[in-house]
Amino acid sequence: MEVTAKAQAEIEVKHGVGLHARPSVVFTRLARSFPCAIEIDVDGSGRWLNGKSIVKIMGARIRKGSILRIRAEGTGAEEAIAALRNLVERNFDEDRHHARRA
Amino acid sequence: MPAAPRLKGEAASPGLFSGPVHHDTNPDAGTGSVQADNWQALVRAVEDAVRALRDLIGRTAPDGAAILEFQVEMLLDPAILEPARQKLEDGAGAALAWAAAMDQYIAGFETADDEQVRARAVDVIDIKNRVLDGLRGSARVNFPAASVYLGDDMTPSQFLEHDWRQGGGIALFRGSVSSHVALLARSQSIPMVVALSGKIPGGAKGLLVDGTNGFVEVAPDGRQAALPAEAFPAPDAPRDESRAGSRPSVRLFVNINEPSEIRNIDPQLCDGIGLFRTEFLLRRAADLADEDGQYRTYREMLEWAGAKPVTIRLSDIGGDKPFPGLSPDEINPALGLRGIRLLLAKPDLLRIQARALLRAAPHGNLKILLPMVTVPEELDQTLAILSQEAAGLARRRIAHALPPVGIMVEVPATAMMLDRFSKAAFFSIGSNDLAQYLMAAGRDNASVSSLYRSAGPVLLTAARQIADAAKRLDRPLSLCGDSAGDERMLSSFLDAGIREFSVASPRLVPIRRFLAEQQIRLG
Repeated sequence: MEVTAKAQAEIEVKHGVGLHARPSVVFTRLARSFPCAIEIDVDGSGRWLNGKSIVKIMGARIRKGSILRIRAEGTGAEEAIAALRNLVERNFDEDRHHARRA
Repeated sequence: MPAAPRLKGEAASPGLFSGPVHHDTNPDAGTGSVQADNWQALVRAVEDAVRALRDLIGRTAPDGAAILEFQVEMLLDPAILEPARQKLEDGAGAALAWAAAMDQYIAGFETADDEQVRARAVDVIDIKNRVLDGLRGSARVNFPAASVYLGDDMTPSQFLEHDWRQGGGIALFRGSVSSHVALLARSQSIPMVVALSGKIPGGAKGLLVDGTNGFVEVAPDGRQAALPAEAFPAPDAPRDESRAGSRPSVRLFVNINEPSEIRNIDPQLCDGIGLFRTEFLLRRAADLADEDGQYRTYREMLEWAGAKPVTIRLSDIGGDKPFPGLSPDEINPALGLRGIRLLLAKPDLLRIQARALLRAAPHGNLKILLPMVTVPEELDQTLAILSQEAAGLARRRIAHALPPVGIMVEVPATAMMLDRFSKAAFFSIGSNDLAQYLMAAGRDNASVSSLYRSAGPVLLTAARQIADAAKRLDRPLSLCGDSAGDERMLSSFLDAGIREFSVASPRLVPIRRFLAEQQIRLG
């Protein structure tokens, strides 16, 4: 097993209200499902935040148009980055969430 | 029938009350003043909030449940406690540490340019309040209503927690006529005797407290006798005849210790609230952090007074009003970290009260009073914090106003060098504390009470000097404290040039009568 695996991705947040309450829950739950360390940086601030912490993610005030850099290190880093990138690109499943409610 | 055993003491609050006795043998148990306010209490309050939220989620439709799940996730994230832990390590209590840390986090949202980011603040405020409610806990064990409290001493919180609406009495083996509980008892007309000598026979079921003559007597049986406490001035108490058609001369204000007191006072009887002692609002650690609760109380006061001024004093914690976990254990607390000194040492506490006051200010004629000011820098620093909080509220688009800020004159250094305090908008002499500091005799120390009580002449000398300096600075001056409610002292203070007085509510009617007899006009 490769424990020193590293992966990184850069994604634009296109979701209407950015990472508010529900998307933050979905994002951090998914991040916590991976054993690797996951950090995010918003708009190139250089401040890397724990991607598994909803308190930190909420506090980062991520909004529509924010550029999210995600990096992962450790077991499953590649899979984690792929899954998180996919989630942001799917708009945090908000559409599906709303569709289900409708 | 043999004479009932009688114990002599000192009269601390006039009136008669007879009723079943509640003998408090351990004042720290059951009715202790403050809930646990440490890290464990905070962790427990967070766990309780999570449990309560999960219960609620089970009973909520999916739409609402999503936001509750967000709150659960936030509370389960150890990062939410990090800033509060830092503040706890710096010496704050759990409630204050939690509220201050969350306020900073919330301000991050509220001051954002983006409306959608600002909207997120509400969810976090809800989380903050949920945990504060947990820290506040449920009402603690109290003694039965309409009984006589018998014990060594009583804390202000014990007094304030109790329901005195059906009357009651207080009999203390220690205690002091100048203590804050005595002050509270006088303001609510609860008969009280302190410094009792002798022993109450074991098995005594009832006690009679004579707070006018200073003794207690074992009542023949435990039943409450039909002896009403001294009548509280009712709203329809006789109006002062000299009021009509007179030109303003002396202005008479009321001191308020407990917000509910105003319900029994006719605003027509006074020119406003001269001193609201906010420290008595703080009964539990969580109250320190309850900005909204403080705001509501201040607003109630302002609306009661209408256009008349309401002077609210920042919490005078410390000294003889310690707050466990907040004021340090000191060898000599009266000369230690109390009043504005404590607030400036714990600015999170000051900022919460500052915001509550600034938000209340648009609802009436508010003045802010600083306790225990000793050097001008304390006033400067407090004014700076008030301005910063006003700017913060403006950024958050919350209605507020910056009221005039004055200082208490109760430390001899301030009394003697009042000219240094030209930035104060007004002055208020705190005669109780000024007397104890001038005489170097503790107001709550029974063994030097004769010294404390002979402070009259020096208090008058100081009052003359303060009145002259206030005149030079062209600043309003008032006097609050028990001596304002004492007719002989009041006459002397008038001679010294003081024209504004603030007295305990039961003294309003007698002092108005006295001023009328002296043909002194009220305005």
